[in-house]
Amino acid sequence: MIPVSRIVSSLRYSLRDMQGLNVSDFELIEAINQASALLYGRLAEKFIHTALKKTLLVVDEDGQTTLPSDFVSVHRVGMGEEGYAVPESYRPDEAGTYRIAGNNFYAPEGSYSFEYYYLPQRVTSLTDRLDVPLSLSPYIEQISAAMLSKDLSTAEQLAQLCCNVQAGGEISHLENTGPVEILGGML
Amino acid sequence: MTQKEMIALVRKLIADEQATGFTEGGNLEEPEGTQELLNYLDRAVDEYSKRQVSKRDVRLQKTMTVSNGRSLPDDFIEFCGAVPLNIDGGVISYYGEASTLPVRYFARLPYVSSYGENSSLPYKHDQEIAITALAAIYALNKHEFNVSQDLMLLGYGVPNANSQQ
Repeated sequence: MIPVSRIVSSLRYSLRDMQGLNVSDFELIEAINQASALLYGRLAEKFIHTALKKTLLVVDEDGQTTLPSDFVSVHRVGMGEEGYAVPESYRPDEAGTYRIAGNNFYAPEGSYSFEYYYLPQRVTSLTDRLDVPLSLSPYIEQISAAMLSKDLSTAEQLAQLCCNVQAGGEISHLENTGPVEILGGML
Repeated sequence: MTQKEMIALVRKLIADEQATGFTEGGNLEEPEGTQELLNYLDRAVDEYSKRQVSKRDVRLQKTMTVSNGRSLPDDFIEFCGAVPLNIDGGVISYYGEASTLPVRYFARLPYVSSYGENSSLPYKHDQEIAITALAAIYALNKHEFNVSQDLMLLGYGVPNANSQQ
């Protein structure tokens, strides 16, 4: 969780507008919301676990419950010691199956450990806290600054870079990754 | 500086210490011309404020508390950045839910005429200089003096295209 005021201060410094003469707090907070939506959308697309959340879904005998409000896409649905449920195209009647349609989760009665990619809740004031790990703070700040400059291309590149880094893809940036061993030999 | 001192300074700048230039229809103790100088000072305050806002002068920045149905402040010039407000006929309302975020705006300096003769004016020294100089230019301009050089010195106006050739 990152305090919004901290991101706003950093953004104002980047924009050289500490006094708020040119950019309002509203604009900054909107840019932060847009940046977190873009970043978490890309993280979910690439199945990066940084954007994962876990919650318990309890399904009553009517066979359905509402999805969390910050839900983007499902990662996996656990059933305790019974393993994981699998998605079903139609209304699931058998144990170990589930279906997601609209804003609802359909499954046989029971409790489910629901892992999903989430979208951070919108922030609206300087005293709010953005539901994002501290490690993503630099990306949120840079993407917000790019958004404020209407530079959507740079914002997109930063989001992709963050995905690569979070996935361990930063190794691909090294020019010399050293000798690669394949089947005991050297290339 | 008081209002009286500021008017005296304008008179010095226009070489009218004896109040002979702006006394039409009045007497020396209470000349009608003083009101005219006050008008020039107010006009100078207006122009100076707009100039400084275009330069993003932080001293003209103010914060207001916004509620739906409130009128824009009299000294309002423009908002600092974009704010989620709709202004209709000078009346403010929020787009959607009311926000707790501060709303900053650039404000005009208070008019000289809104103070009493012996009241202290709230201007900084550089503001006093610029406002009185500008008011003096307005006064001189009335008497058809060439004020282009005065405006240039004050940073108001552009060089004559012919003089640059």
